[in-house]
Amino acid sequence: MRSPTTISIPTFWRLFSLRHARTEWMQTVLLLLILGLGVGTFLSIRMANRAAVEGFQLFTESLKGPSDWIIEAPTNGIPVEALPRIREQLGSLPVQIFPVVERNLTRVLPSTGDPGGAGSTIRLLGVDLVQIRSVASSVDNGSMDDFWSIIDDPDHLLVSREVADRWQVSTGDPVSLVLNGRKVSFTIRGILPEFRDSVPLPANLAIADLGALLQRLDRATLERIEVIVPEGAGREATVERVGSLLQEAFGSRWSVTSPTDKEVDGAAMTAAFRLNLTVLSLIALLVGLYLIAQTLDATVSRRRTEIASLRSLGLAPRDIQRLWLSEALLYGVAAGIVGLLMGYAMATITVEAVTTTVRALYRDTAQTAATLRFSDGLLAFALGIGGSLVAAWLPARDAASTPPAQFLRLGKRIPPFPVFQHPWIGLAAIALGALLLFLPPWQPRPGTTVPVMGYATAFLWLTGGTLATVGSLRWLGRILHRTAPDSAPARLAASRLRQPTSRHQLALSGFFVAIGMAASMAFLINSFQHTVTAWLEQRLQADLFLSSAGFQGADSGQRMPGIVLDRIEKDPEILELDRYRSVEVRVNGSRTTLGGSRFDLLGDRQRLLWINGPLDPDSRPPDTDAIAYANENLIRRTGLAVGEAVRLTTPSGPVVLWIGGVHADYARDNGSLLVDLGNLESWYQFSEYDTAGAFLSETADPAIVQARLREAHPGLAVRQNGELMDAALFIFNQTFAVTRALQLIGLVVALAGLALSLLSLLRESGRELSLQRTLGMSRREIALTTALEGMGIALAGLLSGILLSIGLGLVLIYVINRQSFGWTLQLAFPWTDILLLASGVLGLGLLIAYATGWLYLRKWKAAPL
Amino acid sequence: MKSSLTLFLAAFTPAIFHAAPPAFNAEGYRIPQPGATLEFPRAHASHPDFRIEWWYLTGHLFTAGGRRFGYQATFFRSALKPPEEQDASAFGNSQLYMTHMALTHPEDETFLFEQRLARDGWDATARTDRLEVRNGNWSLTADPLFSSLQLNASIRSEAAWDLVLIPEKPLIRFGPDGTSRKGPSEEARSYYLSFTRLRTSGTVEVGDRSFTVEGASWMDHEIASNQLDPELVGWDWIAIQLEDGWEIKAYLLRREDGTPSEYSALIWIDPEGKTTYRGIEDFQWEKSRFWTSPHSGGRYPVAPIIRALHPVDGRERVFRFEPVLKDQELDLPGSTYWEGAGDILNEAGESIGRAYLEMVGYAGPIEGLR
Amino acid sequence: MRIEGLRKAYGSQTVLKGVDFELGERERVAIMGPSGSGKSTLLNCLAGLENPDAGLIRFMGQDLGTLGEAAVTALRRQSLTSIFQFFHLLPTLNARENVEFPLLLRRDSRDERMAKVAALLEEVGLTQRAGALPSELSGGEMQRLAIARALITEPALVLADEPTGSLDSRNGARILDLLRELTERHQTSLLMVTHDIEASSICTRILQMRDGLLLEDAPQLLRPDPA
Repeated sequence: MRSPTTISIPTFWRLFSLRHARTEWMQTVLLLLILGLGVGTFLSIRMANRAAVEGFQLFTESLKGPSDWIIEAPTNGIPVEALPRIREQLGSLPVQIFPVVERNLTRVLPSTGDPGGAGSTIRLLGVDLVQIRSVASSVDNGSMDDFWSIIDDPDHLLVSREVADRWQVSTGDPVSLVLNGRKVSFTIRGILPEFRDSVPLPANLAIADLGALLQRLDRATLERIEVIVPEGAGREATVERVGSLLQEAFGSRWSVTSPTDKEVDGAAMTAAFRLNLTVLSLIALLVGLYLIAQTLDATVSRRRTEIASLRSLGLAPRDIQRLWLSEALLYGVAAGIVGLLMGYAMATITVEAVTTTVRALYRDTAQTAATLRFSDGLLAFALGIGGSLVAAWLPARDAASTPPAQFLRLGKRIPPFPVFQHPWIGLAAIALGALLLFLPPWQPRPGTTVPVMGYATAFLWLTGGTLATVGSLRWLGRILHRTAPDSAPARLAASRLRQPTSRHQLALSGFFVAIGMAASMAFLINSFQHTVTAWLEQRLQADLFLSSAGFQGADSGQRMPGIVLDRIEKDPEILELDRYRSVEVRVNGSRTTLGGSRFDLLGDRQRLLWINGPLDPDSRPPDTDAIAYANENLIRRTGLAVGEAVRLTTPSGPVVLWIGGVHADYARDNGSLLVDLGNLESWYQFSEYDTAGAFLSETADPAIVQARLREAHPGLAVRQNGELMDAALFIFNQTFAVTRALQLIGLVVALAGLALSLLSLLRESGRELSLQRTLGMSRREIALTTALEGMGIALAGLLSGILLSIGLGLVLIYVINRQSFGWTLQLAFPWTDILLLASGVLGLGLLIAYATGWLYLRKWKAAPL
Repeated sequence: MKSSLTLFLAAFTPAIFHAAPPAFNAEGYRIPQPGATLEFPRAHASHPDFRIEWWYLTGHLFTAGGRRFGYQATFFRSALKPPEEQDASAFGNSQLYMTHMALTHPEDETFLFEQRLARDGWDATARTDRLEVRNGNWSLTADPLFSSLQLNASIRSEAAWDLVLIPEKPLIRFGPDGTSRKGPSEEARSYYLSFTRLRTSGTVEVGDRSFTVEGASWMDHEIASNQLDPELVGWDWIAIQLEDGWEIKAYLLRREDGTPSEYSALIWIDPEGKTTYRGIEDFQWEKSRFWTSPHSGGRYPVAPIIRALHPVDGRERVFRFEPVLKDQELDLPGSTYWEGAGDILNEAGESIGRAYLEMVGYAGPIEGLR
Repeated sequence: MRIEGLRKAYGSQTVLKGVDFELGERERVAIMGPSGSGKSTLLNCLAGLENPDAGLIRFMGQDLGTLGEAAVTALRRQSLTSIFQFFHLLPTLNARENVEFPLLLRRDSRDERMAKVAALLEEVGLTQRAGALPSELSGGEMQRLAIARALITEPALVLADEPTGSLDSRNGARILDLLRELTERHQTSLLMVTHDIEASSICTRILQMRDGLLLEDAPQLLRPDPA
């Protein structure tokens, strides 16, 4: 038979849920913010990840729409003369061909005449403005006469609004810029619109007409040629036909790819990185879920009278549970909305951080904005509702099993969640996690491995650790109680921990996860920093380091001309000048970097940090062309081994490299191969270099030589050893920008959760508080009791969290990091950081807990018992 | 279309000889000279020392099964700087090439068109030694002896047509002195060259369908350096190919007050290529039936009736233009016009030929066409 | 303890309409009356949990109304303790710790505490149950524990609010005996609010409360034979 009395869900919402939400609006707002933060963090990372991958699309795309094919040359660019040959090859096929020159442009500060910092570098696109105007008239909608006068002006430059603001220039102003290592003056002839049709243009963009720009660069080569097949019924067939025609005619000399390949490459390159972020954001969500559970649980306990009344009206426990879950659903929908808003707001910040990281780690990307998709909305609601329901499950069961009011009045404590009563389940999960580590990683495509098992272990350790930690809280309480000083607040607080309620358990869970996460990330970052510093110290042997002022990586198109270096090499105080140049190659199908530097300086002046090898160069098999040193990332991605040969295609034909050793190279995580510069020069026929290192004579003062070189070559960035180290570490730190942000979010959520749980505990122990007053405790003592109670939770969370962090840190370093990035890191547990974190968390925890108690008690009025 | 206007203007005015015009105008461009000898086939090529120039093809194509197409292919060249400042570059800024392509397909009731703007350089050129103009994949070339022409045209990825054109009638150079006057100014003249009937064959591809076609085309090539008369607000122009071997070119230049300009004209071309000129008072252009464009809002008289006296018997002939499709409007920013294929019917309503009709200035100002 | 003209109203409803009475040392007084007569309110005012609107409460020479919170707190620790119908033990502390708690608050030395707690547990017969949590005790045991806790500081006055209200008659009788015995032995006054005639039997004086007014010394016939 049905329960004699039922209550419909809307009635329940109207009569109870919404009224409570309104009367306790602060609690409601806090709950929604926590839910929103959890959902928002996840969403924002998702959006930022997407923006980062979209950033891999070409800068030109924003000007004229996506290309169908991209022709690029591996080293020296494509000569302009190739353009008519390409047209000829394509015959009467309806195809638009866009030649592109892409450079970095660095502002020379008007005050000092020096090139500004890295932030002042923007992307310069040289495109045929007539062509762009005809496909996108909104890029320049001035009159035709103005338009031609701009094109006729050899110094013209069009910049984005943001660049104009940053440089504080407007139309008509001259600007002094570094282009290709030379100081060049331009005239701002226009400000680019923010949108082409509805497509936003990158903020860090300048464009110039290709004709004028090539003259200024004094060269006749292009970075790439983009090919677009217009819309129409025959488009697909034409795209295919164009691709095969281009491949057939030019495939041997140049690479012919589609932008999808580029995005796929970019996505593949950053897959591990993005997955790491996603998992981290999920942990933030997990912490959030604990808090949700805790808050809902608290509301259950505060509304026990209501539940008891409902039960006395004849509602079955099942009905109560259903009603309670329906309330969680209500919260879930609200959380979806709040999470969507917060996620969008946070994404704009996160996009910046992730883009910065991707730029530092991989390559310069077009700045893209966070975009909210329909799927994001769905996901937000799914997470909000799903999360709320999961989190509400235990409290709802709790509500359903609410004992009669009389029982409560007798001062019995609310029973804790039974799931936490079995720490051995947690221990079993931890053991299972450890076993999983012996399974191999997942390999979605060659050269990319995803440490699925590592993540599974981390998850099992997190959940198992939670169960074990929470289960052992009473043991800690017992110890604390036994060792507590002869003070009433301490003894009372300890006695409560000895018999924890579900509130204690949930607060501890959140705390444990947050601390474990933050500390393990600190562990990883510290090990990373330690390793990279050691590597840099080994690698940075030269006294001075040279690069083009705008050089920001191999793809920036900003290199130093060889003749400039030849001149510098003649400086009497420079003993040796090592040059480095990189090109992009494919090794066993994966994109990687082939670098060249002077091997005659190895051992003597330059050093490599060997991980494996090196083998004796004389033992190189005669059927190989040259010796090459790989980084371990390449070894992992390609499955090559020391002593093996690898075949590459170069413009001079195929070459066979013999892997003579594996060295540490943390600069690129898509692998690298190092060969002697002489070899690289003969294969690729280039005359420009990425970087150079100068070894000075004993008597030379680096600062003086530096100043001399700077004056002679204003377009060059000349850095001393220490400066470069600082710059490198700065970039390194940038790469962890997002990670740190997530760490911070985790800690904030954990501390907020602590405050929330103590508040709940206080609110629901009104009778006990009155009793304490009657027994003669002062408000201060009661607040202190609360604070010590909070401290106990924080301490338990801290101790177990640090324990977890060591385990998670090891998994991150030895499993997840190695499998996704292929780097071996030296272990360096950040004791000082952890100590600081611990004292900070304890201090803040105490402060927050005491403040919570004090603020609550100030308003609280003792009730008659 | 920048200059197509000139074309019409250019047309022909009864020659009243004054002093010979100067060789160069104030900007430094050449001015067409009366009586000047043009060297062929070189004169079919580009003349960058004149400010504007265009090659204008229209034609009627038929498949063996009777499916019909009309096409338009217009290559405009417009100098951006006078001859002494011009230079060659892969990304030049001496010439601007504007090209219009249109395809009428009455069976599908579709009219497709596309415009391209390009600078002189690697992807848009016009040779000066022989006819070869190109803008991307669009090109019009002639063999060195000018025995045939090749047109490669397309509209996005929707349609493409490759045609071979062979002149069936001699070249006509308009104007009694070899220059076509377009206004009272001595400088307002052009070299105006036409092939009024070219045998045309080739293929037309629409979507994934391919058709072998044959038919007849009309080609104009005009070379000038002058500007359009600012009084004019538009014009109606027609190129009629009659089945009896005659052609008629007629144009009505419209002034702001609605009256036709005195430079409006009608020219009879007999089967041998001999021309007979009729002034504005000697022919009638009656605007019947209007079509309002849903794209631009322009209201076009799409079925004009033209009456003129035949040069042989002196009797009046009536030519009624019936468009194969009402919507043959090229709706382009700043230069919207109607250019379309149709049939020529006689008084009895019998089809006696085909024509291409152009109507300009019915959808807003024609600034983009000046 | 002396009370003069105590008044208390909740909104428009006046609960105490001017209560006067005096409580001598070692006196045991029962206040009886029907529900809603204001006896609980009176007790809460005396315990300092509620502030009267008007009137004077003098206790050990001090005016409770003029004392600051700290002084009232000190008074509660030392001289004025309570026993409740629903016992109100600290649920996380075991029996011994519950009794010890007031001494901890007073910062007595460990040895002193141990001795006093052991003695008092012995007196209430809970020595065997010293390690049990309140939830493991029976109602009678809990109330005995509450009495021990109330007397551990040797207070001048114990306030008892229906101390037998949650107990069956056998346990109730035991508690009443214990209360009388211990208050006599520890020389403590007792002010008990009850509507249990049995409970009033251990008192030296019974006051009737009706409609917010105290009727001094109820008729003798209501007082059962103390023997």
